[in-house]
Amino acid sequence: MAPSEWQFAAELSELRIIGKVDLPAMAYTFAALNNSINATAANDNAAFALEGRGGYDQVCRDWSALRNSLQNLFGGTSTNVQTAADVMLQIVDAYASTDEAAKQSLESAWGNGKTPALQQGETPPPGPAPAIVTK
Amino acid sequence: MAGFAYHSMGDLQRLGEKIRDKAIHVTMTQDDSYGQAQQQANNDATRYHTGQQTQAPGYVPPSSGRPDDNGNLEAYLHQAYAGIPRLFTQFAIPNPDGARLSLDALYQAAVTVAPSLEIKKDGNELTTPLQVGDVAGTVPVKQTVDTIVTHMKRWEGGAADGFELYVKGLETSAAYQREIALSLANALEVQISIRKAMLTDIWEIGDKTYKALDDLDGWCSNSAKVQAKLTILGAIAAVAFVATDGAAAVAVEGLQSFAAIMGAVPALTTQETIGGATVPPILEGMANAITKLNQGVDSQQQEVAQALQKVNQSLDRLWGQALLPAPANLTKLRGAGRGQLEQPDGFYAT
Repeated sequence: MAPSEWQFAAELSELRIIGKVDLPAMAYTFAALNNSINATAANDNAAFALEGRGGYDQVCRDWSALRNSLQNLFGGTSTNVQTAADVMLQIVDAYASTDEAAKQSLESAWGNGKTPALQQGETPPPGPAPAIVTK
Repeated sequence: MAGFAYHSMGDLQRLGEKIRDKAIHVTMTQDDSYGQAQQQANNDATRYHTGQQTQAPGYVPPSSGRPDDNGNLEAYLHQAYAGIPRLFTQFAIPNPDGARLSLDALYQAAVTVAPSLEIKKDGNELTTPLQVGDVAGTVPVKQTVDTIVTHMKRWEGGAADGFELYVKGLETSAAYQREIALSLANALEVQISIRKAMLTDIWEIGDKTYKALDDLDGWCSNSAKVQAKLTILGAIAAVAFVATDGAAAVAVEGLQSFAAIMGAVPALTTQETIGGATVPPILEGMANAITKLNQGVDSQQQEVAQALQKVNQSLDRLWGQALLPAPANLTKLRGAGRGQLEQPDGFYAT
């Protein structure tokens, strides 16, 4: 059964929360992890350098390869989650553009930078996701 | 490694120089060692004049006097033992504890995607979970997935279903990522342990060599014998591996973990004898112990590298589970109008 007008507006708002809060928070999370793993390269000397002989020891290559994979996994996940978020918001906009009542209801709930009531533990990201660094 | 003391390149250089100087001093003052050194210097002079390789690298016979007279003999010993400091400085590395910042980042990453971690050693669980916080500004994956599913309960269609499957799949792919983070952390713990054992052991070898030479330098001593305890073969066993809490873990089928590959490794310590009635056998004992140490470091690190290669290979096979692409049935709706969204394979409210 098709939802009533107010129900439909509420459901669109749920989708917008996914696209504006939940998925961006996840994209931020994985981007932050990508960055923190990238920063570990600064400690590679302490872990692998051979001051006396020069160069790095035999563990360095395989460990770094796995570290780079993890960094890329976090970065790729962040990008893919953000892609899903963008499409989700386009879906909301597509419906709102054909339904004036729903559009007004969304604007009333989301206008002027407001965010509707969120569930417990649901938190918007602290800002845009940091830039991904891939190896 | 409890009680680890870091020794820098400068420390190792000074230790090597101390041994070199002591070896020269004992040779010049102890009759038996002196006699052996004279023989060695004469042999090298002969080798030099007959075009053979000399025992003392770069040896050039004296321009005046006999090769074995007092002044020339001391100069010969300086040449013969010049390489001793290098035997020690070859092990110089930065302080291994500097790598602990990377460990913190890896444990934080593991905790951020799955909050519960515990420490295991030799197959026995230790009671204290690993206490680390998550990365600032991040959200727990499972909780966010559950929240999204709640928001989606009135949305249907092929794309909506595909999106929901994708979101639920993120929990599993995050579990793969967490296991990789833990394998990296565990391998790095082992690497730090090996490098600390290496520094500890080279210091022990130097310390005991000096002691043996010093014993020979005694007033009425005619031989010396000490034992250098090497810990390098126990470096892997000394590490307590971190794992996910079994109750909270999502299965990550097929992905090899570093801790499981390494298994329970027995802790071995070995004793190397350094001794003799003259300087040469003491230095030979030192050289043998250094060779054992090099072999021990190499074998332990080979195990680590091979285990990491197995993890890398299994991840290559499972890459598609560890990194989920954005769902195609959702992304194909990019720019779609309401008519397309309300098709059976679309995304519509009920």
